[in-house]
Amino acid sequence: MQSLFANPTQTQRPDPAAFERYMRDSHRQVYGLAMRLTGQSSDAEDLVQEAYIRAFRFFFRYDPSLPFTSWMYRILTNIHIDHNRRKGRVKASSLDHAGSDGETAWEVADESSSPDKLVMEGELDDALQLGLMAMCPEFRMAVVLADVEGMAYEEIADVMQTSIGTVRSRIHRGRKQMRRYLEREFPERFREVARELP
Amino acid sequence: MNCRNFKAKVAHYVDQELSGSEMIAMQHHCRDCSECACELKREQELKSMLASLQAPQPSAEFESKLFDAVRAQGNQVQPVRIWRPWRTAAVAAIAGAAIVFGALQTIDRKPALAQSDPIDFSADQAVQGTQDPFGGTPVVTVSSGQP
Ligand SMILES: [Zn+2]
Repeated sequence: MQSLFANPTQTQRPDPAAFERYMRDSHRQVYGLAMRLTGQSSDAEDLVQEAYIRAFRFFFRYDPSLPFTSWMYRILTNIHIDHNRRKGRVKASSLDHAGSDGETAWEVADESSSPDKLVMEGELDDALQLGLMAMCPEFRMAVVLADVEGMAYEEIADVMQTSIGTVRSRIHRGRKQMRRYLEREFPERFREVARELP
Repeated sequence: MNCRNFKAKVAHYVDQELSGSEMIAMQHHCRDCSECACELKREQELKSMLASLQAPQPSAEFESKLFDAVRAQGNQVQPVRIWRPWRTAAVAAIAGAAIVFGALQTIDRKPALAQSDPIDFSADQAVQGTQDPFGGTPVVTVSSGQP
């Protein structure tokens, strides 16, 4: 067993310029993930900022042989989960959302998921973002990492610090929630696939 | 393979996260079952739409705001120390002497970290080992060779 983080000796000093280089190279991509998870640019900016501040404080634990963005994703997703918990959205396992693996998930609670807000049919990206927001946060995270970021389940399990079994369950249930939402709210667009078939 | 099994695995089929024999069983089933073929098509459609989402761009000011915030943090963080009364007294005495000394001397002070300066990690070193970067979530060790 080996930690994801390097275990440097006390005498090892991080290179401050290196952190800035990593930050410059990664912040757009990290912002993209934050935006998909929060659905709001102001929330995404706050989340990214908090994640880099935390990363900066713990930079001595970063192992440069591993991708910096993966490390950032891990920090960012943890902060995001903490934020959601603090907002009091975590509910005791309900029949609807508790998984077979016994994990706890949130109710669909994002105010931004209301489709009458700004989205018109035809704006696919906005509709998809609403679909993402209609998922429980932990399901959304797994689906975003798999589909938007193109990660394998093993990588997602590492970023989300959970088992592959939990990742599988989150992706399965997350996509189901999203499809149900899109087919209900945007039937023209999201049911046409079904109609094409005999 | 029945329809129930197919639907339970369709997400992982689309993600190519099934074993070889499971993948083949899935293929065979949706060749014979139009309902599951439709289910598969919708799942694939969703995945490919998500994959083709435009990457959101941060605002023009975001980069400088981010760098400023992280640099400011570098200046603020104080080393974590264990409070010891005798030490506090000693530090106070030394500080008092330093003030007197300072009044007698003209000390050239370095201004606060300029915007272009690299981030100063010195103050952060003392927090090593006192917290983990994941906000209280236990650091989980994972097998080597990842991610
Ligand atoms: Zn079937």
